[in-house]
Amino acid sequence: MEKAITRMAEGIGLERPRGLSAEDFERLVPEHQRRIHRVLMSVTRDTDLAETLTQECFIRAYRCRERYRGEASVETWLLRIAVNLAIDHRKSARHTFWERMRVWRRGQEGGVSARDEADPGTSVEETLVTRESAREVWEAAGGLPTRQRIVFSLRFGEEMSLEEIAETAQMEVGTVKAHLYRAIGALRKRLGERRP
Amino acid sequence: MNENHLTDDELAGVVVGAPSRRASDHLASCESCRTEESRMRSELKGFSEEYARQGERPEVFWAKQRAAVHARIERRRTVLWRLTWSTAAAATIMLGYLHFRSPASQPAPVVQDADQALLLDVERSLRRPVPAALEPAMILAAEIDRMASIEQVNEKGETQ
Ligand SMILES: [Zn+2]
Repeated sequence: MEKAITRMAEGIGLERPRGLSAEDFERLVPEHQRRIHRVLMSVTRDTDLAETLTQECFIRAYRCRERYRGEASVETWLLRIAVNLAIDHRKSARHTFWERMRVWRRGQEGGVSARDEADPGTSVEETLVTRESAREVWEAAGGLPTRQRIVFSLRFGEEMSLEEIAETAQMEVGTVKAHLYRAIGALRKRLGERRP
Repeated sequence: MNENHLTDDELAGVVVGAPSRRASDHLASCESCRTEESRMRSELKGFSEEYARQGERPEVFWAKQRAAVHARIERRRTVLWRLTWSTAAAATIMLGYLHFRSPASQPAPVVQDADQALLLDVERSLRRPVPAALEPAMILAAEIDRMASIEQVNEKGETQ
């Protein structure tokens, strides 16, 4: 369906798609839920919140499905909604007592849970080292400011191009680069401090 | 050449996929910067792997999520449907009320009443001995007759 919409939009300018029908919409959820959830998980670093915002993303998309004009791909459109939700949530939650409590409690509990089962074919020690260093980068990226984290996740988590990120985060490509450079600089500093 | 190693931004540009010309040229000849580049790439790969792991969920999780989204959409549809129906019903009742209440919509009963009144009038007029308009004159005439007859009786008595 996404291809059909893009084809129409990119066609000879005869007609742009007029929104998404409820039936079209039903198909979007299974197609994009994993990606939306992954991005939100990386940006919020909170399992429950990522789940709540993923649902909210689809509900919002459903509400505005008739306004979708196909200027961006369905995926970019959904990611844009998700990213805006994460930014809005961050803005509203930043100063609340409970949010600070939650962050503090998570710190006490030792961060977000991850599945630590070893891959077959690698030695336990090797796996632990690799997993541990991967985890370190992940944790360090969690300390980036929201916009940097969004851009960083889309580039290195979702492997999106700079142009796609610009479209999703509604920024200039130059701004995307600037955020990425700052994010990488901050990560190198943090990881460098941890290195012996 | 090696005294001008790549800056942080130049290295970031390389790993982001937007290397400058100078960065590409420098990397070709500087092992130290190549080592730093490869370390950064390995860290970013680590992030990418952990990113994927953190997003992994069992299939039942995705099914539940789809069901939750579906349920919320259905609820929304039902609410909108009810709202539409109740608005339509309210509008119909209101229109009906206005229709039966407005003066412009009452000519039929008025015509019926007027017809009945006219018929009654005609009937009353037919039963009258004189037309309604002449009734005062008739009363006056009767009064004059009565007075004349009294005078005649008095004259008779005086003459008798
Ligand atoms: Zn160098």
